[in-house]
Amino acid sequence: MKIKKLFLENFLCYYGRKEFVFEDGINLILGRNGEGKTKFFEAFEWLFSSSEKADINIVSAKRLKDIKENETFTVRVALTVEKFGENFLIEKCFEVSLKKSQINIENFRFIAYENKLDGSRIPIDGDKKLEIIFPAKIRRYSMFKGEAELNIFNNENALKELIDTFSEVKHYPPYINLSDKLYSWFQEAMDKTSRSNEKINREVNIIQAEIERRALERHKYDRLKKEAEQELEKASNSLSQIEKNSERCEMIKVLNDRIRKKTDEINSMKVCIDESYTTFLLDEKWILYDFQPYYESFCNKILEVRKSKNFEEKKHNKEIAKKEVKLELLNEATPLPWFIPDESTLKELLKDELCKVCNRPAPKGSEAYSFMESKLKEYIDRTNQKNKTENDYELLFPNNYIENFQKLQIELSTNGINIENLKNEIAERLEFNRCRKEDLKRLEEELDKEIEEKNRIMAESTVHEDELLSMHSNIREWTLIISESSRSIEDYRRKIESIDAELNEKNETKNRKLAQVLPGYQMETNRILKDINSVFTNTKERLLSEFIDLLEEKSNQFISRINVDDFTGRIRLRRSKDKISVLLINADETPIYKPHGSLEISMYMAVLFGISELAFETKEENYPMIFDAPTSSFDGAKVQDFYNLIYDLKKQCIIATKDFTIMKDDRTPCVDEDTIEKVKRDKTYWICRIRPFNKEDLSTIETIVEPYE
Amino acid sequence: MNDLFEAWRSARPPYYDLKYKEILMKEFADYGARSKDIKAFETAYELYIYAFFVGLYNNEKKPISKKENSYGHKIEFWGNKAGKKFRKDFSILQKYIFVALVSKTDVDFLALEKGDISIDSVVSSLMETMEQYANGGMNLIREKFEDNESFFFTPTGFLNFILKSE
Amino acid sequence: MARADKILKTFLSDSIIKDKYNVDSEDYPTLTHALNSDVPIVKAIAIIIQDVSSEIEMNDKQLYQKVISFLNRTTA
Repeated sequence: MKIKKLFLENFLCYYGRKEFVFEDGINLILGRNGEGKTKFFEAFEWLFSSSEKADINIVSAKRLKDIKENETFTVRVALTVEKFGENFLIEKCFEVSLKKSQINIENFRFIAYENKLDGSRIPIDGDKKLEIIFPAKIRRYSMFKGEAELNIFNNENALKELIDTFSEVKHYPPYINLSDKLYSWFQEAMDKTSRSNEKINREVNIIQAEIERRALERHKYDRLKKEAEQELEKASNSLSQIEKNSERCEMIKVLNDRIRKKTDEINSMKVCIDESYTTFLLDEKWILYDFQPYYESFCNKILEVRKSKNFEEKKHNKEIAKKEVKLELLNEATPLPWFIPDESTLKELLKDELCKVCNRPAPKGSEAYSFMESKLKEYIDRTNQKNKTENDYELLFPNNYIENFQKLQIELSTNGINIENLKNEIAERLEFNRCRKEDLKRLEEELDKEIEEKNRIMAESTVHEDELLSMHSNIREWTLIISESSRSIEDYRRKIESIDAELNEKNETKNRKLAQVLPGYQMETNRILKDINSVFTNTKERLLSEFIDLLEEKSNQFISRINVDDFTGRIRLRRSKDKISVLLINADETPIYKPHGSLEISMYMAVLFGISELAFETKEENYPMIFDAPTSSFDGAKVQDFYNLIYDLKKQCIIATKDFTIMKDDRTPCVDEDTIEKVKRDKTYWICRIRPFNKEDLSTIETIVEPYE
Repeated sequence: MNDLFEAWRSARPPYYDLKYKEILMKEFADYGARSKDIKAFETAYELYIYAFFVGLYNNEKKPISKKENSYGHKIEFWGNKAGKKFRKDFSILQKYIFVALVSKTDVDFLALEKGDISIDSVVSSLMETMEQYANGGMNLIREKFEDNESFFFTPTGFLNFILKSE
Repeated sequence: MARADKILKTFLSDSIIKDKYNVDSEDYPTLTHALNSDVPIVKAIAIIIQDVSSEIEMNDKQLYQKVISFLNRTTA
C-alpha cells in the first residue's frame, strides 16, 4: 500500500487548500520547530482515528476569523492511496458555517471512494475501508512520534496484537483448548469406570489425594522460585546500576577529598594573614617609623643643655676654691659625666695601666694615669656626696634632670627600638600579606573549579550524592542477595524436580491400579490424548518463541545500521506471560539499564522496522511509515546514517523533521542547502509559517507548503 | 629624684577637644566593655597616641579650644597590655613621646636645673605641647574622614594615613 | 499448502512425535495423508485438525466421541 497524496483544507495551521504529493521511497517534510510538522503528523492521526470527529479546535483559526455571515467552509483531510494497483480516496471532513452570529459545525463525513469498473466512484464507509487498506494493527506500528510516544509495547495487548497480526501462532490456541477438553473428559470417563470397583477406588483415591497434595506443594515451590528469580533480577539490575555509577562514585570521592584538602589549605592560609595594621602601629611600634629626626633633635638638645650647664658650672666653680679635683680635658671639651666610666672599670684601667678606650699605655706616674686616678677619686667623692649635707656646697645646679635625660638617651639607644628598620618591617609585612592574599585567591579559584566539577558529575547522575556513595557500600548486599537467590532458585528447582518425579511415579502407580480394572486399550488412549495435549501446547510455545526470536533478529539488523559507529548493544525482546518488553543488552548479556536519549529512540525504531519487515513477509505487502521528528535527539553523523538507512529500506517513508534546516541571520528559517544536498531522497517539501505573525494570536498563523528541489 | 619623665607620666592625663569624642572616638575607639563592633583602636588613649604622632609628623599644632574631657587613663599606664591576649606591651612609646615633647617644647632646662622654675610648670608645658599636636592630628584625621568616609574603615587606612605624612 | 496442512506439519515436528512415536513429518505432506495413517496419534491429530479447520464444525462432544472411538478401536 502506498500513500500518493495528502490534502489538507483549513486544518489547524494549514489555511485554505494544501496538497502534498508523495513518492515511493523517502519523503522529507522539512520545517523548523513550530512551523507545522507536528500538525502535519496530527492530520494523519485525525484521519486514521475512528473516534475523532468534527471538532472546533482543529479548524484553522485564520479561516475562522475570515468567515462572513451565512458563509460556509470546509475542513478536510484526505488521502489518496494505491493498493493492489487501484487508487482509493479516503477523507474526513465537516463544514463550518456562521449563521446568525453563531458558529455551526455540521455535516461530518468519513468516507472512502471506490472506483467502479465504469470509471465512476461510489462512496463507502471510511472506517471500514480504512481498516481494509491500512489496518489499525499495522498502523500502530507504522506511525512514530519520536520522543513523544516511545514505548510501542506499552499497551497490554501489544503482544497479542502482534501475534495475531503477524504470526501463525494465533491459530493454535483453539487446538490447545480442544485437546484439554478431550483429555479431561476421558479422565472423567475413566474415573467413572474405576469407581465401580470399591477397593481399587479407595486406593486410587488415596493416591489421588497424595498427588493433589504434592501438586499443591509443587505450585508453592514454583511460586517461591519465581519470587526468588525476581529478587535475583532486581539485585542484578541494582548491581549493574551500581557498577555504572561506581565510576561516578569514585570520582566524587576523589573530588570530595580534594575539596576537603583545599579547604584546609585555605583555612590555614587565612590564619596566616593578619591585617591588624592599626594595632601593629602601637604593638609593633610602627608608629615610630619616622621618629629618628625627633630623637636626634632630642639628643642634640640634651647635648646643648649639658654644654651650657657645664659652661656655667665651670664659670661658677672658678670663683670658689675647690677641694675637689678639677679635671679638665684637653681642648676644653665637655667632660664625660662623673659616672662614666664606672668605679670598677676605672679600677681595671688603673690596674692594667692602660686606657682601654684608645689602647694607649698609662703607666704609673704618667699624666694619663694620674688623670684616671683623679677621675676615680671624683667618682668615689660623688657617690659619697649623699652623706654630705647640702650646706657644704653652694650648688649652682641643685637639680639634675639632665642626668636622667642622658640615662634615657642611653637606654633608648641601647635597648630601644631599631627605628631605622621599621620601614623595612612594615614593607615586608605588607608584601607578605599581599602574597598570601594572592595565594588565597588562587586557592579559592581552584576550590571553585573542583566544586564545579563535582556539581557537573552530580548533575549527570540521577541519583543524589549520599545515595550514590551509599550505593557503593550496598554492592556487598546485592552480591549476597544474588548468590542467595541463585541458591534458593536452584534449591526450589531441585525440589520441583523431585516432586515431578514423585508425581510421575504416583501417576504411574495410579494408572497401573486403574489398569487393573480398566481395559488396556483405555490406558493407551489416555496416554495418546495426554501426548496430543503436550504436543499442541509445546508447539504453540515453540512457535511463539520463534516469532519473538525472529522479530528480535530483524530488529538487531536494523539497530546496527542506525548506530553504525556507535556503541549500541543488542536488542533483546523479553516475554513474560503475555507482555513484551524491549531491552538493550551488552555483549556480555548484562542489561543496559534504562537507555535513554538517542539510544532509546534507535532501539524502538529498530523494532518498528523489524515489525515492518515482518509485515511485509507475512502480508506480502508493504506499508508506508510515517515519522514525526525521529532524529531530534540524534547528533551529527547519526542523522546521516539514519537517512541512508531509510533510503536503503526501499520502503515508502514520510518523515517530518527539523534536520537540514537553519535559521538565517534575520531569524527566518530556511533549508540548509549544504547539508540537504548530501541526503538521498525522493521528494522534499518545505513548510514554514508566513511571516510576520503574532504568536499570541492563532488567527495570524498560516503554514505554507512548498516543494523543494 | 629628678626624673622629669616620671613626673610627667604620672601627672594628669592630657585634655582633648570634646567635639572629637563624637566625631572620632565613638567611630574608631572601643568604649564600653561590651561593644558590638570591632573598632580600629581598642581604647581611646590609643587613638590619642595615634593622633599625637599624626600631628607631630605633619607638624600640625592646634591649641585646644575648650579644656574639657580628659579621660581616665594616666600616661604611666599607656601600653601596659600585660595580661591581655593578642596584644603586646607598648609602654616604651611613653618614653618616645616624652622624647618628642622635650625636643619640641621650649623649656629653659638650665632654669629647671637651677631650681628657678618648678617641675610642675615644665610638666605643664610638655603637656600643652602634647595636647596641641594631638589636637592638630585629630583635626587632620577629621578632615580626611569627611573627605572620604570609607578611608579609615579599611585595614590599611590608619597605617597609610600616617605613612604618607610629610 | 493449505493452512490445515501447515498446522499438521508444525504439530508433527514436535519432539514428542519424533522421539516417542518415531514419526517423520515428511511422511505426511497433507492432511489427507495423515487421515489415512496407521499411527494412532497421527490420525487422531489429523481428525482434530480436520474438524477445527473445516467450515462445518462438529460440536466438541461429537468430536470427542469420534476421536475416542477411533482410538479405542485401534489400541484395543
